[in-house]
Amino acid sequence: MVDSGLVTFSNANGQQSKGEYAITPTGHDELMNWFRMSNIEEPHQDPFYLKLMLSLELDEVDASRLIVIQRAALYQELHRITEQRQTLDPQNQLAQMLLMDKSAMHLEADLRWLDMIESRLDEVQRQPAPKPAMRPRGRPPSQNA
Amino acid sequence: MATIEVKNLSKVYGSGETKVTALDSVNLIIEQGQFVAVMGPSGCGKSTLLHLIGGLDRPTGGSVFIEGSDISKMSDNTLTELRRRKMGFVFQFFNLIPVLDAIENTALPLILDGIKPDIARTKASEWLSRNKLDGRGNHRPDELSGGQQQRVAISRAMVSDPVIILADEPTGNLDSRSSDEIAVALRKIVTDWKRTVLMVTHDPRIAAYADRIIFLKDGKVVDDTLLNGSNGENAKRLKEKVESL
Amino acid sequence: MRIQFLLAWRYLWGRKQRMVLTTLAVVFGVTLLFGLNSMIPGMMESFRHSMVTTSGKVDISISSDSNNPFEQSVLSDLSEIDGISQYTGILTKNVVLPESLGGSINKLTGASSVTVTGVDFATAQNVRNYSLRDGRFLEAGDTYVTVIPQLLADKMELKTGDTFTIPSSEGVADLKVVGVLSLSASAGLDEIFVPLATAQSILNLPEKINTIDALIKSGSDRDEVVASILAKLGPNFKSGAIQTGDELASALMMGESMMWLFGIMALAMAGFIIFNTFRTVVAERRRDLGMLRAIGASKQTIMGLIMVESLIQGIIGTALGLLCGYLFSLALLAGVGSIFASMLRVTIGAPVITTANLIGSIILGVGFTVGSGYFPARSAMKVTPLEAMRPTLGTMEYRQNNKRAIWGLVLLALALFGLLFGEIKIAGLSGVVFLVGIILIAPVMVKPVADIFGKLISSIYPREGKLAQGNLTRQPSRAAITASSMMIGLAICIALMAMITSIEHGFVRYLDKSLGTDYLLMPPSLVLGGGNLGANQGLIEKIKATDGIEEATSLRLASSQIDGTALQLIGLDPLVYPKIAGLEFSEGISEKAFEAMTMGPAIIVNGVFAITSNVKTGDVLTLQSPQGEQEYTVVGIAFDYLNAKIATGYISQTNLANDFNSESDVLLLVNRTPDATAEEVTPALQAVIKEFPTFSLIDSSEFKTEQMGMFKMAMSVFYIMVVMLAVPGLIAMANTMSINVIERTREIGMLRAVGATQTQVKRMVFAESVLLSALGTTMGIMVGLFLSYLLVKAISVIGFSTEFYFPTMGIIASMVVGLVFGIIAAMVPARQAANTVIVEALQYE
Repeated sequence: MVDSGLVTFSNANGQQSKGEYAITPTGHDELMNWFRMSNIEEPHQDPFYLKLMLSLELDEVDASRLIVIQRAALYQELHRITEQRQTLDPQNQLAQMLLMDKSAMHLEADLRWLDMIESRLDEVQRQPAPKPAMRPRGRPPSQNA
Repeated sequence: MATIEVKNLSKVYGSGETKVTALDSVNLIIEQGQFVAVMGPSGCGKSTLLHLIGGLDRPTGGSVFIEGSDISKMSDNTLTELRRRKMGFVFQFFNLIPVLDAIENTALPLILDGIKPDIARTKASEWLSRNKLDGRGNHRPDELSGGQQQRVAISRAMVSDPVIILADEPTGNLDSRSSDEIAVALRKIVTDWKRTVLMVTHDPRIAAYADRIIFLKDGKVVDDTLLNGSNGENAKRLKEKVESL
Repeated sequence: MRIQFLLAWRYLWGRKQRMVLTTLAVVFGVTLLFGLNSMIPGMMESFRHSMVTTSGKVDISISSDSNNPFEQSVLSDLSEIDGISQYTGILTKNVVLPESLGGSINKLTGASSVTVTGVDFATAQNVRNYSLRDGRFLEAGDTYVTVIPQLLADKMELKTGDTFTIPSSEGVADLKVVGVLSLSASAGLDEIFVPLATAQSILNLPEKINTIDALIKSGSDRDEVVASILAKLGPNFKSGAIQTGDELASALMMGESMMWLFGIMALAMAGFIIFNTFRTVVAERRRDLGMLRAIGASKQTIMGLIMVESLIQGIIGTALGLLCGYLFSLALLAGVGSIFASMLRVTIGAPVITTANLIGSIILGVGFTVGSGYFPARSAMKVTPLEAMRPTLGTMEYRQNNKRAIWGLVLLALALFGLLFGEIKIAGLSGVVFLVGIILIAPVMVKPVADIFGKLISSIYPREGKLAQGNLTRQPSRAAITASSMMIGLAICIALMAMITSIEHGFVRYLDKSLGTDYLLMPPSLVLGGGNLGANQGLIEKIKATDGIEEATSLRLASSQIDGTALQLIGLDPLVYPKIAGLEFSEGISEKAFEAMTMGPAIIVNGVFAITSNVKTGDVLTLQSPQGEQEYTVVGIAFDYLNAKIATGYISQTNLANDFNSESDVLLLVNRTPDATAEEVTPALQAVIKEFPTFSLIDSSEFKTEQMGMFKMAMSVFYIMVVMLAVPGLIAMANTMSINVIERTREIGMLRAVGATQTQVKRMVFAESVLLSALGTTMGIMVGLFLSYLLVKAISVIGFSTEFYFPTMGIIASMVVGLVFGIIAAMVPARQAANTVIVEALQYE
């Protein structure tokens, strides 16, 4: 960061390890910009989605079983988080609880998404498979695993 | 002896063209002290399963064993007595009697069983305070919030010391905070009181409080997942499933 | 049972308004039932008290089977009988004291009547003990002297040596008081003792006695002695003192059964309301009941819950009803008491609570309520625990409506067919059948009626009318049930009003016919023939001799029995009576009947008797008389105004004298010559009457006016009943309307949410209620017409021949009342609906 000119380093008392960093005006501007930025996560490249789509093409793999297994895994995770969260004290560990809520709710969203897929699985199977050009950007499955 | 054992359970509504198969040869074993959530898309037969286990409805095929006895062969009166002594019910719409106060509502199953009113009242207020309803005993249902009403209903379900608690969408009519309270209350029934809870829900976060989730689809069990193992155990079970692929 | 009581009480308490309204219906029913029935025995008691003659303590009393006097010579037969130690013959009769002779209807300070007993001075004291306080007993050679009881002496301020004037068949009799009996000897009765011959001339019964008192020898068996006496005297005698007032008692009995009918009708109405309420209660609580079943309440517990609820209402309603009923009869007795006092010279006491009435009212009141709760309770029992789990969808259309309607039509046809028989029992049954038929057919009528009236309403409020119409036709069965409570109320109104109109028309007719003469000479007690002292021939002869009198005829009185049924006999002059008065015939022809009476033993009976004993023209009746059994041929069924209510037979005065030993004129009918004026004749007649203080001279036209007034007053009692029967109908209607609104809270909230204004919602509820009442009124008019026809027929069968008058006024009134009811019943629910808070309504479960 020193190199980028965002902070300056001063070693006033001469000790190598304990110095003070000070923010530069450029650095401050950059920090403010960071705060101002909204945090919208990019739709992450979902490996499960990829498996599912491929399974539709392959006769060897049953897509609905994939969903069942994925759901079981998600529920196990959700249960684990729920249990952990219950051990926390809402009086002084609220920060941690809120972070856990985030994970729980993301899991919940994934589960609801699975339900949605499951209910429309037949339809999507009947439709033509997505064209290669339309495929979401992502590395081949072999590299992902 | 399992608390609940379901063998080849089927339920068909109507006949001929309007025939609807709600349950199709379902087999299940639920041990004592398990918190089981039943999930699945609407119309999958999850409520029917609950009704049949609770003896509220008669199966068209198969049997339900509660602590080893077959309830599908019981007379209405025996079944009623079984419900009164061994089961507790929690409904989606709370179903409290509007003209009775919280204590009286809670004490209902005991009074129905012919237990002396003062004993019934004492037990009822004990359960109300366990469900954090101290001081609300003399309130009528319309003076309580939804979450409070449902906690009265849970107290009512527990007051007769039942083996099984059956809950049909217990949080279906509540906001998410009250829903969490109800889920915690049900969890406690299993953890602290070693009762068996069977709950139908479609809310993943509520289902996650359970130890086991049974997924139904088109009247069949499509998955049966244990949630309460350690990470390693869970992974092992998952792996078994993956291998079945 | 604890749980049922707890829940029942809480549910009732939670819906106070409804509980009050339904309980009120029971209160109404029991009030009518209990109140009316405690009035009748109250009246009977009073009559008995003033009528019954009691002999003192003797071993055996013998009197004629028909309570008529018999020949004194009969006594000699007794001398041959073993086992009798002493016997004496007496002639005893109650004589009403007119006010001019010091009579007073106040029992404490005066006497309205005295019992005149003629005794044989020689033998009387052998049989009965007459302990004197003052003076002496009757002695040989006494005429027109009397021994009176102490109580009467005190009341009338008489002492030995004074003269006591009483009415007599010759006018008046002045009796010299020679002795006063001590209190114990007279047993508190106003019985005065005179020499037998004197009594026979006072009562115009020469050589006659009516009771034999006897003592048995010690060691003889009483029953054996009685049997041998009766065997000796023949079949026309009985053991026991003579009884009077029998005829009236049977009339009152008939009144009593009418009152029961009324009370039961009111209770049936109440039962219907309760049935209705509980049906809706069960529908409302399906979810609660399902939950109770789920958490372990047995079917029996659920059924018990509803039954206990109706039991509580039944008990509260009946208890209040008994109280109100007592007050009601107290008020009624106070109202009619003065009429009775002036007309019959009888004081009417407080209402009498008989055990039968009390128990009957309680059983019927509670029974009807619990019974009406039974079917709803059964349907509550069938609620499955599953109903607790899911909100139930609106009830489906009933497919069996058409099947029911066909049944209904069949029943209606049967009911109409039943009328053709003209048999009263079948007619009554067809009334019930008709009602059931209408109720079955009602759901099918909902649509056409709603269509017709809906068009009317739609022309005023197009949108709301359409909605209301839809609401009704969606659930025709419920609409029909709601409307039928109104139907019953209105039907009863129409029927009663039609009956009143018909009776009124008939009444005026008889009054004109029966009292067609210019003057009436009436005894003090109009109806109680038995208590009146007649006049001998002297009176009528004197009247005929008066200037300006064209014709006079009399009625005489005796009593008889046919197979144990009491029959009052009126003796009339078949030649003169039809000329100046007349009987109202319902069977037979007037001229021929009277002609037959001059020829031989012929009798005309009135309808009450004809109906109760099932007698027709041409039958031969065997009448009990002191001279043995007499056969009379029935030549007609007819009645006069005064004797319509009591079982009566009319025979010629010749026959009456020969067979029943009665020759006293009890009532006289007098006509002026056409050229004579009232101013001349009235004073002349009054002068004649002076000698006969028992009689009062009455100008017929005045009497008619008076009677009409009384009739109107009696009818006003009916109007009160009409109101009492109609009000529960309104209550029921308002009740169901508001339940309808409560049930549809969510729907109304939705209407409000999508933009219906408060006024529109209000209009919708009003429109629905008016439609319902239109349905109820239509059905009510149909049933009412049928019932009124039945009632009028029933009355004419009893003998009060009436014609059916189409109750136009009743129908118009019903339509107005129906509309007003519809609007009133909707008032509270409409406001409730309009004030529905949208958000709450949408959450309403």
